[in-house]
Amino acid sequence: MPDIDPQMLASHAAGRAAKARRALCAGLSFISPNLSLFLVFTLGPTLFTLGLAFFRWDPFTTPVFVGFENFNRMFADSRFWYYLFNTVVFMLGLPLSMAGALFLAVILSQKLRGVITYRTIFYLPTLTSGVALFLLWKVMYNKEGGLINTLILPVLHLFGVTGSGGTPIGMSEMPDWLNQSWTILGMECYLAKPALIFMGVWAGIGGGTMILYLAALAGVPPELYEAAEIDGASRWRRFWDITWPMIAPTTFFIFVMGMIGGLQGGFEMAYLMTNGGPDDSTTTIGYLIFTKGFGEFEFGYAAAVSFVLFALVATITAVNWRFGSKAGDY
Amino acid sequence: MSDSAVTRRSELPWLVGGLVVLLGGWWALNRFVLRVYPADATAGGTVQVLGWGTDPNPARVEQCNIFNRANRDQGLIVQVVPGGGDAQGIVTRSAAGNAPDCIDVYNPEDLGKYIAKGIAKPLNPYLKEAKLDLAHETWPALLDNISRPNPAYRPGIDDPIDARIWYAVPNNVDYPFIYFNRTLYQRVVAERTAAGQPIPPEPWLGWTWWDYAALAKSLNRRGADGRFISFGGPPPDPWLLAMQIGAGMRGEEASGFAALTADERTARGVSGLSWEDCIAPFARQPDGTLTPWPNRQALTTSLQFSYDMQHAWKAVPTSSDMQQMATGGGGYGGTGINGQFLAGTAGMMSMGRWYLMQIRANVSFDWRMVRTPRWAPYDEWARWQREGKGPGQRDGAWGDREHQDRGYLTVMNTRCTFLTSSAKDPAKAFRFLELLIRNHDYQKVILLEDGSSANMAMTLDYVGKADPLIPDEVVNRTPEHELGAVHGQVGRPRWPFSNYARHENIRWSNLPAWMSPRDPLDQALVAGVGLREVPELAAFAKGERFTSSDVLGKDLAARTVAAMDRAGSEGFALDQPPGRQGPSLATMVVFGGLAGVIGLLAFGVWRTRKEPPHA
Repeated sequence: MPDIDPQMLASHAAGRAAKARRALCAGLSFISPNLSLFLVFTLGPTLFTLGLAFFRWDPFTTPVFVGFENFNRMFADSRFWYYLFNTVVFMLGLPLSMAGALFLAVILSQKLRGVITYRTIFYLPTLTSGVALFLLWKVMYNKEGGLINTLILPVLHLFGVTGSGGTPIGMSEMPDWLNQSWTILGMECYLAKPALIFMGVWAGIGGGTMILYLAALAGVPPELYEAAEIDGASRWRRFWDITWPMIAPTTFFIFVMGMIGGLQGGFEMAYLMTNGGPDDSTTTIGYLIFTKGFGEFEFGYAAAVSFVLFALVATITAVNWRFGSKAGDY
Repeated sequence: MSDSAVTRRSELPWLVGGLVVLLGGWWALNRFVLRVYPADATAGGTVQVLGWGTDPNPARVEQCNIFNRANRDQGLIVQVVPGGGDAQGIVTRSAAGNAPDCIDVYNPEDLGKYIAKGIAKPLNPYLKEAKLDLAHETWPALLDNISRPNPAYRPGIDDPIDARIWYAVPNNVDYPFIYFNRTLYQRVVAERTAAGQPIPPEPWLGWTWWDYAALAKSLNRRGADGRFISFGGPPPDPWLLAMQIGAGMRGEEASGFAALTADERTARGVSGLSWEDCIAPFARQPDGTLTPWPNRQALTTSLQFSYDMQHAWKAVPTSSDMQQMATGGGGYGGTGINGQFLAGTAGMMSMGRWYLMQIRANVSFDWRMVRTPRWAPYDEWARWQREGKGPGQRDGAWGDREHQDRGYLTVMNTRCTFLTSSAKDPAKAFRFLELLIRNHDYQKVILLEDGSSANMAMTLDYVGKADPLIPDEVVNRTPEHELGAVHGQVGRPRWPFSNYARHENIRWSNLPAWMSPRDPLDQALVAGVGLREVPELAAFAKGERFTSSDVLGKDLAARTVAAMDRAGSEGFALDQPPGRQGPSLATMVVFGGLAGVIGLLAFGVWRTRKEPPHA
């Protein structure tokens, strides 16, 4: 074995280090525009919000350190828990919209005539702004003259449903989708919740979720289906034993992203359609943060709610990642 | 070899030249044809522009012009700052130190917030310099809205103006009327007469909310599909009604209240309440906490009445109906109930005098300004119905007699203007505030195009005469009567919010949701209690269901009041001085739980990595 010159080794090591430094500098300079914007506009405000949660502050007075006051108030306030409950209830639509999107994607992945047109039509609502969609649905849910009641009323007449006084049920006796409630087993049940969930399912079926499923379905090797078909597997067995496991990573991704979006969501819906009502039944954590911060100028309290929301999202995502990611192991 | 990019003649000079011609032409058009830039704007040297944060009412231009004509030679003009009246915008701009110099606020609680935050600048030095004593210049009911007692004042030594710290100058004053579509009423009279149905009388000076309900119900007309063709009007604001009921409960005046026996007070639901408490929106408890609406009976009755109007009698559209008919918005430029009234769909509309000109300019039907109904107990009203007592015939303590003890409660509101603490030259900016209360031309603009003038003498002089420009105003003597009452010609209590100084620490932002007509009444939907027929009213409202006010939704009222307490307590908690707190048990449990979950996950990952891979 030839002798190795230690001086040469040291020289080579120094050269490698210098090269690594240059690469690092080059890399940093490439990402610096993005990194600096991220630090200033994302990480900075996030850390600021975290700190603000321990202060009482409106924009005019010096922030006063109050320790855990904001958190204590929040956790002692039954309304916070109610709004969290509302947020979770609205997330019940997630599996429904995923199932719908998968169903649609399976159909649209078939070799049909004009399938591109169908795909475009089903994706179109995604191109519409959320504000327009919410306002459209608000009009559709109108008690008098709204599309939903206008469609239901003739059906009720067909079945001979009568209103008060024995006459055929009139428009004024139709459900008030965004305002009505009933007491069932001592609990107030608001029609606005299922109405908004239904709207969310509709909006979630045909958009990005469907596209993701279409891409996932295209990635399933066709020879698996051919082999299963030769073995005599039924259509359902092929779906359940091949398609579903093969698209599991996509399902997991959609579910995690949906959970995160659901926990943070509900603001536009509440702001545009219901103002969080009736009786706070459609107020979500996202809407609470807005009203506390920009309606009542309690930025410390709003920051505390944001912090808890962040912790919840992080925890739920971690749990999903730990146990749900195994869905892709096959 | 030639490079085409180099040798080709560049079109850039043409582009620049074209832009210069375009922009120059645009400037010349504005300068010489449209005269957007006044020729003499800089004639007197540097021009200082005052910013006026207010709403986009076209009258503001005329109001600015009055000031600008008077001050341009001194290099001072005022300009409206779009969106400058928006509270969130003011907060943001003030925090950045560039808020408009003068800002309009539309209710006293907003001004209170700006005072508490130090955004509103005390005006005392400027008022003394201008020798402007607002206590004599404007309406007494407004004084507590725009000023606070000065604890450092030394009577006999200091200038009397310093008895209070003045924060704003009232800019206008307004009070609600009912605008009444008489053409629609006459059409309904014809229809109901042909069908053999009775019809309530037209509004008159002494009409009550029960009359309003009956009239509104008769004006509701639906098509074959059940949709509204026309409707009577919206329900009253519960908080306004609660104050009216409270005013009625206390016997209308201090001596009358003192004379009430214990039994009478119990019967009226005011035992244990003071004279002020009867109409006060808040009461301070012995432990220092504040409770909304001490007069619970009045509040409950008010909520009940509004609920009944919508859901039991179906006299007015429900809040949902109103929303669907786009009646949600009011105010200047609103397309809500204003639009419905202008279109002839709504028979009645409660709105301020400021809306007078818009109605005159936009409708062709016959309409009236009538007084806001007053409160009377249901039993008395039912008795008048049984005995056939029409307008002018109603007897008893609650009858429609004109008496100085009656004390009609007129809610007066003011748009007032304050100087911001970031105003660059507050002394010059104050000149504009002075104009708002003193300038005759400005008051005339207000009286013709807005509510009424904040200058008491000028307004009384104006409405005391029949102005040929506004002949409608003298019908039913509405403004004359209301403002005369305010002035003391007819005895009445001052506006309840005039004791606002007691409540300066309240977070009003928690309350509007409970004060708005919609939310408390929507909760009424869940009450689900039964209805009871009242036989004595059957003759009056033939075939229609009428129900006594006190049998419905008591649970609703109790729950709404409890919710208001919660909302109030939430706000009051923030008025306590801040102190450092350790985590509560609930906080520890929540964060401990989340940390535990994360810890378990991390432990699982660590164990998985530590285990040797399977063979």
